[in-house]
Amino acid sequence: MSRLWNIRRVVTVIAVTGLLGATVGCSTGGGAATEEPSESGPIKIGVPIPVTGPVAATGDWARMGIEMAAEEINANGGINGREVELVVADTEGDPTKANTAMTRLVQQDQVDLVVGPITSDESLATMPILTQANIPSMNGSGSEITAENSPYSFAMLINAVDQAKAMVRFSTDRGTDDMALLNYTATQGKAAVRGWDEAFADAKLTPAGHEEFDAPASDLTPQLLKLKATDADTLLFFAQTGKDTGTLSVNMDQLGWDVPVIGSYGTTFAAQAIAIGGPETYQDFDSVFWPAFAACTVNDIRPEVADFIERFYSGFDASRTENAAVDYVAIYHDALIILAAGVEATGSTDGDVVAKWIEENGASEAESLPVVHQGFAMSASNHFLMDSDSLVLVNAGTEVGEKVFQRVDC
Amino acid sequence: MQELVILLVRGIGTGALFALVAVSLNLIYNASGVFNFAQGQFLILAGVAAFFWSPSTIADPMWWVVLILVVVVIAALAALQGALTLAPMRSSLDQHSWIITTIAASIILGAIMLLTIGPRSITVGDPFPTFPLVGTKAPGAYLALIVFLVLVLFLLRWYQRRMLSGLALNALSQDVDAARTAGVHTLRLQMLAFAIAGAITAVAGYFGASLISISESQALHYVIFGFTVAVVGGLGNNVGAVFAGLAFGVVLMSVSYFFGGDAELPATLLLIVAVLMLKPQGIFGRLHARRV
Repeated sequence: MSRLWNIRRVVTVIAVTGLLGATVGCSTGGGAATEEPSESGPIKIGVPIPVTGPVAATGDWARMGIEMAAEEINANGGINGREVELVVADTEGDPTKANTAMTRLVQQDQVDLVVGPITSDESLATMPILTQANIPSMNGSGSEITAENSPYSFAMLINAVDQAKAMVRFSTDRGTDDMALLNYTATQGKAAVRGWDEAFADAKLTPAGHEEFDAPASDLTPQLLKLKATDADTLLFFAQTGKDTGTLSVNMDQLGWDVPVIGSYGTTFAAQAIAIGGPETYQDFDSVFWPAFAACTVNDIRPEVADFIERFYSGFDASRTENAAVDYVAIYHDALIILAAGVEATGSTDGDVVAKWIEENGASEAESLPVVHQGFAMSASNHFLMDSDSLVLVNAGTEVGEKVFQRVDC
Repeated sequence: MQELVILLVRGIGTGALFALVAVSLNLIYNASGVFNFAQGQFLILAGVAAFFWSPSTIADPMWWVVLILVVVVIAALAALQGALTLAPMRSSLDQHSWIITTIAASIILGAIMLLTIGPRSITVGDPFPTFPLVGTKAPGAYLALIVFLVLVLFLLRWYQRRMLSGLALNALSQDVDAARTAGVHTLRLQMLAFAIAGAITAVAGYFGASLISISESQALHYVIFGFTVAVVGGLGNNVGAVFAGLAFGVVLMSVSYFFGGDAELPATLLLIVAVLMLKPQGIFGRLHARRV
């Protein structure tokens, strides 16, 4: 029998095995025994994050932030006397698997609150499950979250649309109107394009050129060749990983294209970027960032931030903290603290009740809560924890204190 | 014109990596009829070794010492994996236990890497100096991969025509049962094929560490691309794999340039489907007779 015929059989075997696996997976999720929600005992917090897969390292950063918050809450007597208990489910960074993980958390583990998943795609895919179950949550999305599609959920990351608008604003403030645009092609990247479109329309400007890439980037030469030909005087770069930033820096240098770059929040993952691009990566390269982890001098760092960074590094093994973005860890910490405050204030774990409290009181109450970040702005019309007003521009290659970046506007 | 030259050279550099993976898959396939799903893990493993032990420049002699160690260790691992994969197949080649064993090997290697480096994606700088390219610079890793690919192609050709064990490997690719009946020690030769394939992948991963995503979860991605290139080139045909690999890289770059980054993979895969519809056996593949 020929080998080609064998290959067809092999493909059939793999396909059938895959189908069987999927069927078994579905049966397990859907047929899981359910329990009645408990009003006593610990409050269960579902943590759907990637424990394995390409974004598992980022998932672990989120997990550490949630663990720190849970430990603080329990040390202070829990929520209305009830301890919190974390239930982790692996999403592998995949929306389909996130769906299975969320179903398990809701139906089988009967969680009361949820913090996660960590990406926009996963968050959007799992949102209907949380809405239907009336569970309040904080998700790690950076785009597309609204009060309509996520009535009981709030997004932690900086809205991609807001980031994109801020990037245009920072560029025009410098007097550079001739901007080339480069973004990655996933939900957040596409949302950034919408933000750019709106910002350019508002400013009555036209971008010099626009290109996209699949993250993580291994060679951005084709895109940069086209953008270089536009003679733009600034590049706005919306990245997902530090590898994208390092690759951009290397490729721009190789092509001899020397223009200032304004990057998204994703360009602040400096350790990865510098490993590829070298120490010159952030020369003439600024990034949009949270205000709490940006400062002009070491004396400007708020005590809450310094204390959190110190506790983070002393509380976890070095293998977990190495190269971690502490600002990212902190937002997951803050998310659980705010969610817990909502449950404590309302005495309820119902999504509609807690979400209403966060919309009406979350931003003001955050000032008196033990949170690390600042500039919270959630409301009935804004289901992101922050808005674009608080964003600042930093040089991610320069730290004024450990994990606190140099502000550009000093 | 300058842009086209840049795209062509960089595309060939990118394609060289896929071609090397495809050649390594072909070597094992020709000797045993097995597609080694663990080949991607060997590529990543070499990248991990570069991250931990490789100096930042090839001017440092230690860089070459580490290269030799990486090649020897991965070749030995591949040979061992080959022996374990082929053991259940000794009674008959017409079975598919290798699917499970090669996937299992891939998962085990992935788990070991997960325990070693964690779930993160690690990055390595290019140890090769850049080279001038029509007024710009290009990564030296591309040139290194292209040179290595050409070297592999010629060395394999010479080996399989001039050396006794190479000729025996050729015999295996034509008819394993007949070779066994003729007294050829098939298992030993098949293990040798696994080892050579492992060595090729190790060098590709070590040279190209700055170009690949070094994360255990990316291993399958490289196997799939390598497999695609092998199929388009004509299964088992190394010249076809090289041609298809380089063309694959150039097409990826060109589609990005002319149609945008989001069209890169869909347009390239569409082209591959079109090629396979016209030539189902691959560009350099031979038609096989099938008993009905």
